[in-house]
Amino acid sequence: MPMVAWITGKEKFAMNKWFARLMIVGLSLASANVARAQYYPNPYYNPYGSGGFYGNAGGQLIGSAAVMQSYGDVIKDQETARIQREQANQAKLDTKKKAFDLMMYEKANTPTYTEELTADQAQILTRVMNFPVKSEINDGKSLNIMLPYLQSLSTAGTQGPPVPISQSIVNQLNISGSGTSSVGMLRDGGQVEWPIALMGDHQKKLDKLLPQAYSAAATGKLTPKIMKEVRTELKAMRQTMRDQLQKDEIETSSYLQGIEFYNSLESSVNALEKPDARKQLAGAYSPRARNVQELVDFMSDNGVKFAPATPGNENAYKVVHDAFVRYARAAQGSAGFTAMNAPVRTPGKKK
Amino acid sequence: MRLALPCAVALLIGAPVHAQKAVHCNAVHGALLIEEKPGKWDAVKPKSDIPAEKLVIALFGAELQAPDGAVDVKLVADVGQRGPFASLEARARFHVPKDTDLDVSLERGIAVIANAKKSGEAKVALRVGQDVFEITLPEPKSRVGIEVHGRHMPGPPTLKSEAPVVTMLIFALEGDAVVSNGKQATRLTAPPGASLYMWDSISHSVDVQRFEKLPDFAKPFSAKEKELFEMVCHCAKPLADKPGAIRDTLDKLISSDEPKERKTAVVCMGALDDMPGMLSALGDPKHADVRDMAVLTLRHWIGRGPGQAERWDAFLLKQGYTAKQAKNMLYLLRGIEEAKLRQPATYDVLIGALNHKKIEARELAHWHLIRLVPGGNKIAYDAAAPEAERLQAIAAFRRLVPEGELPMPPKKN
Repeated sequence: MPMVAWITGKEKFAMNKWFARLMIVGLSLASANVARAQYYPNPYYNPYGSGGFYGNAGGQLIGSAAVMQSYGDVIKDQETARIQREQANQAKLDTKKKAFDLMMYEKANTPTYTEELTADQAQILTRVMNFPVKSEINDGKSLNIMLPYLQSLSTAGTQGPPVPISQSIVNQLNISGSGTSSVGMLRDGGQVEWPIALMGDHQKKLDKLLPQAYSAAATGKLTPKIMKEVRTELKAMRQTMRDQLQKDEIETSSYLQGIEFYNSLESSVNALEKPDARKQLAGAYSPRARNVQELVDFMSDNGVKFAPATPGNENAYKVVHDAFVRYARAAQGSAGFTAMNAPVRTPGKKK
Repeated sequence: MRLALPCAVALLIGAPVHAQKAVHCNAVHGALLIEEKPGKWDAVKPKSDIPAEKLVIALFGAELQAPDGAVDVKLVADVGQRGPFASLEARARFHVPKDTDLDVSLERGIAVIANAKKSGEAKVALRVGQDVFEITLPEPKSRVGIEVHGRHMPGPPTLKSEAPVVTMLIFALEGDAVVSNGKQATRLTAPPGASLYMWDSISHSVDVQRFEKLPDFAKPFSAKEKELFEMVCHCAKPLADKPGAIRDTLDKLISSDEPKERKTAVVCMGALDDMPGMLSALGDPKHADVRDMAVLTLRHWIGRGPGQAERWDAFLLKQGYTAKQAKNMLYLLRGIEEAKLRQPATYDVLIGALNHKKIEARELAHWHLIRLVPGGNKIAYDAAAPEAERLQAIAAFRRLVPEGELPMPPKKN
């Protein structure tokens, strides 16, 4: 037993006693191991022992190997983790790149707000030119929609032929700074040509009040008192019409015509209070134009818009609308226009 | 000339003149009435002949045949309102054909014409107002449906013998047909093909539309529609049974507990020019369905031809209406023009008229409002209800259309 060769005699005796006890335990354990091995053969059984009773050297080696193996495993696991982390990082980058590509694709295929606005305006313009609604013409809306387009043609040097408009037609147009209200119905010194449906006591009173209000507004002396008097009479006139309709003293169609006139008059009265009323009354917004180009230039130079037509003057708006359309079509047909204008991009159709 | 001489001689000697036979009646669905003299009606019995130049009215179906059997004609009313127009009755006048197999003036309604020959083409002269069309059905069983309808353009009445717009549609139901208006000939083919011929009395121009398959309005009756048609014809049958007591029959029908009988009565009143009956139906205090049908019937009636609106105006004046009340009623019967529909004041007027002192005006205002205001048909309103209830309905309409505003467009689902 080379293992115990360097041990002294006493130590040998004590060792023997201790050894004998250990042997008993070892044998019993060994017998138990043998017995168990019979039933459960271990395919990975180590013939060199694994420490314990069968040899400490083998056990040490095996332990060291296990330590080494464990260390190797740790290193390996660390490397695997590193590789996996790298793969994850790559995947992240890949996802980022894809997200970016998608964003770029969407951006490239989605029109900008400006592009959308331009396309919308082009559609509205096309509709107004080809399929105008009568009420839009009478409101001055269609003329106001076409105006910037005609101005842009002019600015770009693509002018149409001189489409004539008679001065008498131009004089019937209502023009104001805002384009919503004008003193149009009162510009004849506050004298109004009343429809039959509105004639009566209130009309007579208003025939006196309106010229007063006109003069006051023209000289900058309009007072709330004058306006209140005019408005009171207007309201009373409206109520009288309603009562007449209720009592069948007026035809429905006449009533509707009267109300249309009344609304325009009320709008003109309200316009007297607007800051640009004096300008309007002084004729600063009365264009002198012989053709479309001159009218467009006047509107552009003064920064003004078309206001709704005075009842009875609707035809003038229709004439001007037709003249605008003719002018635009002729300009669009010119060589300069074709070269200048690329087709309008419609949303979602970029190639 | 050949005909004129014996007729003149007969008139001179006072002998009865027998009008020439124009078509033969094979079957009647409901009543087929013939005008013996203005305002006097007689019933055409099945298996009898119809003389030339007499006005016949189909309430609501009749199967006729040209004298030589070359052409089959069906007069039909659109009781189920399948087609684009409210053809409430079929009115026609047959003439002695000269160079054609059939000569007919279709005043309004639907006529289905088929080539009944064993071989060869059949020709039909079709008169619509002052215009004459020649329809050639080149093969046996070629069949076309013709619909004629007149209506006034919306807007205030002018009462200057303004003629309503007459629209005519010819649809090729089976085989081919050639329609000639004297200037151009148009070939129609049953679907798939150029099947629909459209003409109107304003432009006098022709439009043709292609169909890939039979549209719903040209399909044969479904079982349910057939049942409805037979039911309505059954309601009208008493008119044929007692043609001398039409007024009594209509009075009995309109006071029936059955809505279909009441509505049939209103349509028959319009077809037979019963103006007092129509006015009474428009102001019926008991039945909202009668009033509603009276609006449709009156709109249909004034659009029948020039002078109808003036007749109604004169009749209203005789009934004690003021000139303005009569004009207002005619305006609402014709309809409101598009420009006025864009004015808030129009809706103010209509909503205000829901509480008008005359029930007829209230009914007409409601008839328009439920068609012009989205959601208006959900508001409970009865023109015959007490004022308190009417005011509640007015408040409900005011919530939908506040004063000075236009109705909101319908919500998109």
